[in-house]
Amino acid sequence: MSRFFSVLVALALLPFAAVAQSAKPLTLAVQPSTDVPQILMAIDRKLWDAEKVEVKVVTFSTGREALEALLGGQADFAVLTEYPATIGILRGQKFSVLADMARYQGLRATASKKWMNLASLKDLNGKKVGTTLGTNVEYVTSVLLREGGAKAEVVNAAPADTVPALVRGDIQASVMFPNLYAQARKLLGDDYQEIKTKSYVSHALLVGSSATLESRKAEVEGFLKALLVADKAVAADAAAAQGIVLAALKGVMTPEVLKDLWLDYDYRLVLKDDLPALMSQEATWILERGAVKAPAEAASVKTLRGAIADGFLSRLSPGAVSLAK
Amino acid sequence: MQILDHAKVALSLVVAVLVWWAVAASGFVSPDLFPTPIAVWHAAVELYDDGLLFSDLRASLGRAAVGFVIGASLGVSVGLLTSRTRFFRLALNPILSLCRPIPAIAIVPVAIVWFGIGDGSKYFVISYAVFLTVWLATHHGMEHVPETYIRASRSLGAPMMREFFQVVIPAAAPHIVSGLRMGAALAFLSLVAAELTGASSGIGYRLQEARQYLRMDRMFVGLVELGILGAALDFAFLSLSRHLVHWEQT
Repeated sequence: MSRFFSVLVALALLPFAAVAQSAKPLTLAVQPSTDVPQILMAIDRKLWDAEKVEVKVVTFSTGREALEALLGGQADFAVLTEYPATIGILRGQKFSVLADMARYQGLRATASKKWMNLASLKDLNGKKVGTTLGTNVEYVTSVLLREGGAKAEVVNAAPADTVPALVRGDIQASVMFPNLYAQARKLLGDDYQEIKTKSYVSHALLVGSSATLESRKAEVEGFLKALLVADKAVAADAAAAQGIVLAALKGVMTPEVLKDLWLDYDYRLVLKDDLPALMSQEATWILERGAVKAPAEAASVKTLRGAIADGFLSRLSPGAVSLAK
Repeated sequence: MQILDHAKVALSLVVAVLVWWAVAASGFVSPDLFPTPIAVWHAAVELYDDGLLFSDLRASLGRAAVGFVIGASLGVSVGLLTSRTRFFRLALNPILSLCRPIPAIAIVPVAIVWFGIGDGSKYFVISYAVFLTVWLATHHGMEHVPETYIRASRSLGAPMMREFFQVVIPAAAPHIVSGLRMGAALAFLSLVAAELTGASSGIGYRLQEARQYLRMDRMFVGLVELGILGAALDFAFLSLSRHLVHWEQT
């Protein structure tokens, strides 16, 4: 019985013990991917140690899961694309964008010659297009269809299922995540076709919880400073950065595939006006679909600009920030 | 007495909702992460207004029903074969015993490759889960028919078919019915796994979509729907089994 009470007392004191710990590490929730070479570089070269910032990296299989960890109070920072970040802002969640880490402009529609001829985006008209609903590739699908003036039946498929569905002919075309292009090309062989979008660039964002940004400013600056060092290292030696990314991906991607993807990336920590503009377009689209209910002004550039905390990056790298106030 | 039981169930549900409300309204958890019952009600009304509530319900019930019928029919048939025929028992029992621990969600990628992202893969996943449970219950029930029943029927000169339909099947029926009841519950459990991909409607799909848009209120609607459907189905099966195997009621 006394043991039972000891356990109870220990459990009751646990929150106080946690508060008493002085140097709680900053927790970063991230999906190891081609979107985040700066983070993988910082881990590999122990750049946060140099800034005397203790960082605990927790990996997730998607950026959205990383955001969920941040919203649940389990992480201080998360890396995700601008689409789930826009959803979070529309839903009034308490986090801010600290930096736009990478921009990828190679998103595309893929198709098999067996089921259709994809000479232009207009050819998607009347076709079954598979994509992962609720993610940025669904938004890209809408952009591609708009570019081609086409109307298609958009079908939901989990990321890993889009390529088998395309091979089987369950769908005639697909807008999939970039890490699947090589697999699609390999499995479809000579039947593989693609058209890249001209009007969409995806952004990999570093976001921080409002509580952390307010209460641990010095540590946040140290965290960002290390990332800026990593940023320079990635720009200076792409081959070394690719080696680190390949090692982090643990053999799921070949060096050739990564080199090919790398060409469509722009890696640099920046904050520019194109980001809130794109997020505003996405927010408007989300509200029009009715997936999130919010007043129209929630989708304005001004509102989304308000969710970008540019102060940290402005102080550390003034040239990287060009945002209208 | 029955009114008292109903009152107890209603009271328990009311208390559960009140506790839920109190926790959600306490401010300890963000209302966006743990919505109040009122917020969930509003989300349900919103889904109804958007025409999604009943279309999702229809899609999911249709998939669960087709998967259940296929899985249950196969389960009972194969169970009869493996329990009464040595050849089928030796041929099928080892492989079915290996399949039993494999959860339905692990079968989803295989189902997608074999049957595509249409409804075929969903029927396969649901019927797989139902089949194994119903097979085991049928096999077990048929194998454990008391030997005295068989001896009595044979000493009375009952022909083989009569013995099978009037002695063996009624003796095993309680096991078969309880297998069907578990199978029906499993059809709903595997439904969500089946609708994770390739679906653009259904409760499982809506749960996933709600997660993508951080709509916990809509997720709770889906969870409540699944709970109500499962409980209603279980109640219906229990009532039906009272009539079907009335000789086993205590």
